[in-house]
Amino acid sequence: MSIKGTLLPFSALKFLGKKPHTVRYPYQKKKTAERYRGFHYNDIEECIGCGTCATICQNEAIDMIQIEGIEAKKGDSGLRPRVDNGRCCWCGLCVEMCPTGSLSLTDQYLHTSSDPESYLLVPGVDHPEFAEHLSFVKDDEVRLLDLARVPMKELDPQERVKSFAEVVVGYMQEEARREATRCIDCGICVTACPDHMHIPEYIGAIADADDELALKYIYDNNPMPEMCGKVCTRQCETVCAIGHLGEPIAIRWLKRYATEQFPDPAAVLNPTIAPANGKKVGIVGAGPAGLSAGYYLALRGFDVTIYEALPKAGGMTFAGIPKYRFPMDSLDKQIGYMEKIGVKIKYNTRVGKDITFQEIRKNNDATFIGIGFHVPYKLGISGEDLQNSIQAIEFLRTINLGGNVYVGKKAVVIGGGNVAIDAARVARRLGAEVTILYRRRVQDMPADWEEIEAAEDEGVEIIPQGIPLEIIGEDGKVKAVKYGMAEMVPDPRGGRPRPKLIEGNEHIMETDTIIGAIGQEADYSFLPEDLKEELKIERGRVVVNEFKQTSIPDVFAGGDNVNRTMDAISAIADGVKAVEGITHYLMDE
Amino acid sequence: MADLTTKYLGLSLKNPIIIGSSGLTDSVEDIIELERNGAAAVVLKSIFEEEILMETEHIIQQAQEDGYDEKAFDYYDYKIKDNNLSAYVNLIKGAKKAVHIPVIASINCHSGHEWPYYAKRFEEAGADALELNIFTLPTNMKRTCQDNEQVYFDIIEKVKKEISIPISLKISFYSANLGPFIVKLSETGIRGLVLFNRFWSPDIDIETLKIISSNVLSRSEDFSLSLRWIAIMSERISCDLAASTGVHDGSALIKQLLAGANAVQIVSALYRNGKGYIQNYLHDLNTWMERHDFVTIDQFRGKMSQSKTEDPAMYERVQFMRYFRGHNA
Repeated sequence: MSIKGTLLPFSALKFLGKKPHTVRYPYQKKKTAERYRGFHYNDIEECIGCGTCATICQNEAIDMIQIEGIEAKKGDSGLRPRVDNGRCCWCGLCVEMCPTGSLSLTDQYLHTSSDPESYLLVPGVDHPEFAEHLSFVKDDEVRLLDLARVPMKELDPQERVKSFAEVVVGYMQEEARREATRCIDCGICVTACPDHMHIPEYIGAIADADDELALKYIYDNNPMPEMCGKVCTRQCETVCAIGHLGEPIAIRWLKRYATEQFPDPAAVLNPTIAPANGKKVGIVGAGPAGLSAGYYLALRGFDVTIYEALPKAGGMTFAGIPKYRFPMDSLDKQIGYMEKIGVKIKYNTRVGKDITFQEIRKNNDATFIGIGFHVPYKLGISGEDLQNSIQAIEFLRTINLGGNVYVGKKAVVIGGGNVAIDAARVARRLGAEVTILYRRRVQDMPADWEEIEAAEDEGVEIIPQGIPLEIIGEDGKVKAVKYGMAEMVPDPRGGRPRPKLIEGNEHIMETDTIIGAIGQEADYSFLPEDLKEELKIERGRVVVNEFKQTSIPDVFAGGDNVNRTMDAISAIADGVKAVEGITHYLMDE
Repeated sequence: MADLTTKYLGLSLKNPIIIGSSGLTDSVEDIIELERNGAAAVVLKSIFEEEILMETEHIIQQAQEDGYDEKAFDYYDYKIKDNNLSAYVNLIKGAKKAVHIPVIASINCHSGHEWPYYAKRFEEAGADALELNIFTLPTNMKRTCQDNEQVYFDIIEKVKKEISIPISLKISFYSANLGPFIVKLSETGIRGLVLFNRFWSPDIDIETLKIISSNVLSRSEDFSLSLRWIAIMSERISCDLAASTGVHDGSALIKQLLAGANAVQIVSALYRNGKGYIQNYLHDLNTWMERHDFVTIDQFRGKMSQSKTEDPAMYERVQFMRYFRGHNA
């Protein structure tokens, strides 16, 4: 060792007693990189609790939990994600997969604690101030979700008005598979469906090319799925998670696809029918509610007879829905399958005329009333009783039964619901120029928007805010309609604006036919007087409990004359629920 | 026994007592009892378009609270209207089957296009006449007097086209030009006018600071308003006149007949005293006629009208003048 090396450490002694010289730089928070991935933030109002983030997380770092102040509702599970930041790797996959775009990552990264629980954060609830620090947000350029729906082909509007050929073509197999793979399996749609169908399951089966499995899932709680696949009101699609940023999954069309693959459902489903249990159930009305109740009761071994006034079953799905939307062979297939498994249907049997309700009640252990709404509201204006002033319900029923109805060269339909649109489009197909007169605005029309658009594509004119005042006749026949214009008056309670006639602003439109389509109600005339008093009916609807049991214990009811939504799927749901109620009533001790 | 018969709207009445549109006349049972007690005709309780709208609003609100979508009740007011009309038609039919006295239907609409349809249905049901109850409080600052009055003529024209049974019009005294207005109305072809309507009136509860209803029933002093105008108009118009409001006893009845009324409509007096009170009117009328040697009502009807009285100016006097202080006038 050299002497220099030995003495060098002692050179430090020159600093002995000297004050250290410290250079202080200004404190600077280190700026994070663009699209930095720090802690999560979730807009809990935009979030629908679909759980896609939890599903996609590769580290199982996200749980869906109940949050105070957030309730489950249609289209929202009521749950919100909680992130375990001890497991999270901040890959951002949850953000990319979030269908609503509510979830983001922020530029916030500082957290030091010895308490492991403090690393469990509910984004948006914990640290709401992170909303000002969004950094890694959903990238519109790079999409992991497929937001565009596989389009459905339809017949050309100008051609399709010449016939009653089915308008919607349907998905080919490849189209269905592609559409099915868009589904993220969140299940938000299930709660919105009145019947709570197994939607993610059957869509998943279609995506996996297992159409038979899809059919089995579908038939588990819906015996008229082909009908639903063509004309359902699809409340499921209105809440579809993908629909928030893109087009909702075509749940209806996929159901249609699955059901159309099999000409004979029995061959695939091969249902197990329970042995006869000795109990009999009489059902009034072979509409969706009655048929659904009948089908599932028959599977459980009940002896079921349905009494139907018309020559064919289906209720409004037969009598009211035009064949270009729902072809007869499609309905026949489903009814045929039900009859095959043992549901007995007595056609051309009007309860109250051909058989009394008392007799049905006497001969059965329980009864189900599914009579629907078939009695039209009157227009209540002069000239309503002229020849060629008709009701849409009767018009559609006659056409569907194969009859002829005169519409002439010009028809005016009064109303704005699906029945009005159906009547208008049928009248077009019979060769008439058609105008719909509706007393509110187009956006207020209760009809399905797709149907409204289809009607307009087919040349149906819509006059909004038009109130019919008088039907003018000549030689006892309709000649014209006088109508006034309405101004929309806001509802102080925030409801729909009210149409108020503007006095003096009247018009006359020549027409050959007037078709009234302003609503329907039930016909309870078949009930004996004593039962009419005993059966609780409010606002024209039979009051039932959650199992569709009426105020008379052995009488159940469902369908339009019971529920609030008045569509086929709700009627099916009522029938399915009534099966539980009837089973409980008849079979439990 | 004097002859109490009279004619009103071309209908032969056994006496001048008509029971006015009210809750007394909204059931067949009540109408039977009124006839039994001597009523010569009844005006059925008005069917109110406004009531139908309010009923619809109430049902829709309740339905919404129960979770229904309002779109499900898109045209529900049409159904309520039909239900109410059907019930009214049944009332007319039931009353016509049950009694022999004329049954007059009454409608109150505020939108012009409903009247003819209602009128036609009531005629078809068998109503002997139709009383139109037309009034809109003139609070719309943009409408002129002429605009408000034109509504009456429009409605009358529309209704007359639809029906052939007699039409009467019940009007209010709210008019800046009442005399000429009444003359003009009488020239439309209607068969009668009822002077005057009695309205719901507001009052204030000074403890709760809420608007409440004031007296629903009329008082006997209320009769003088119609008395004045019956007297002034009875010889100036060709249609019949019925006096309404405040006719609470036999003397008020006689006064209105002297002024020129063909009949009177009573309601409040029966609410207070019962249906049997009709007999008091008839007894008083009969006794007075015998005392004054009148055999028929036509012998004295209008005897004290403005054109026939000795002092016609008295009917047009409105101010309380100096000599009233001496209680001479």
